[in-house]
Amino acid sequence: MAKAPIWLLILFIVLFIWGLNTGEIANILNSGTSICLSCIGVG
Amino acid sequence: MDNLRRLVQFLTAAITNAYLLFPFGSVIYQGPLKSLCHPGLHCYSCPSAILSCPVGALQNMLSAVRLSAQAGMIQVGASIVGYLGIFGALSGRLPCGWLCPFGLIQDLLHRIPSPKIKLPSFFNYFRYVVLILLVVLLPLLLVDELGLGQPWFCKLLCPSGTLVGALPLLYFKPNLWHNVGLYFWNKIFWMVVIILGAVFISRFFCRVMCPLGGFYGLFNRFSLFCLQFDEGKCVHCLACERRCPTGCQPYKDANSAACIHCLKCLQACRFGALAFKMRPGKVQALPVRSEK
Repeated sequence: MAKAPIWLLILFIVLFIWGLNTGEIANILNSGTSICLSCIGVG
Repeated sequence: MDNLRRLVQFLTAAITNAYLLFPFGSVIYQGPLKSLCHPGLHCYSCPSAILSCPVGALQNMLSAVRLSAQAGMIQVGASIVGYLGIFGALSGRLPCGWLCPFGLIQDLLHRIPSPKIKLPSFFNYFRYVVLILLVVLLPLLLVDELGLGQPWFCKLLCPSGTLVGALPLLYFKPNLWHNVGLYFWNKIFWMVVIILGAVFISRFFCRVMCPLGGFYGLFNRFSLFCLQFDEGKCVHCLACERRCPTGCQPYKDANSAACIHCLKCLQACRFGALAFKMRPGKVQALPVRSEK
């Protein structure tokens, strides 16, 4: 099995967990549950 | 294989749009599933969407990075990049071909009988400009006096946001028409261009403008599962190239960044020269025995 994709996978899993630890999930939920008018070009 | 892919595409689109109560309750779904991102491009302002859009969420985080830093917790979208990177490291652009709802829309549009146009390959590089400029640099650097940026890809270009977000919302909330301005009509213009483009050019948006496709494409050469070409079995009939929706030439470059891993080429090749499987490791040369 090639090593490069495994290392990439580990790197991104670490990045994902780090993001979770900084509370990004709450931020994603917040942006997803309110209608962002500038996101859809209205306003 | 193609029927299976179509089934997966429809199922993913149906599951992603499972909130059917929007005409009766709140206009968009506001439950906990919105803390998860879709691996494809699907606007989270779509009334029926139950997942968030990774590109929109990433831009929102980058645009508010100064505020999160002031609050003592820098949020740069690491979880989103990590989440997308896991998909990329596993399978490259497979989510584009199999899971993306906007990819499905383009596939259906391209079935409309019309003359089909071949896209010159240099257009493929434009999606990196969109990724770097509209998704990363502008939201990060173009900020107001409060230090807050804007999601410029969503604001200026995203056709998914216009088609499944803005238009249904304007229908269900007519008072929003008061906020409609130049940005909206600019987005309508791009949506029309992209829809017409998809009719004539297969996967037009994915190939030219999609930042998510640009990101996933970076992994095609390194992903764990990849397309593998066996030159010994190839008879150079070019059937794979003719079937490819993104104009790839698998016999020249099996893991081109333009390939969306729809696997139509596997179906087209009657000689088994192509396979989609786990990337092999380096073949280690056996020590040469010296004979004196």
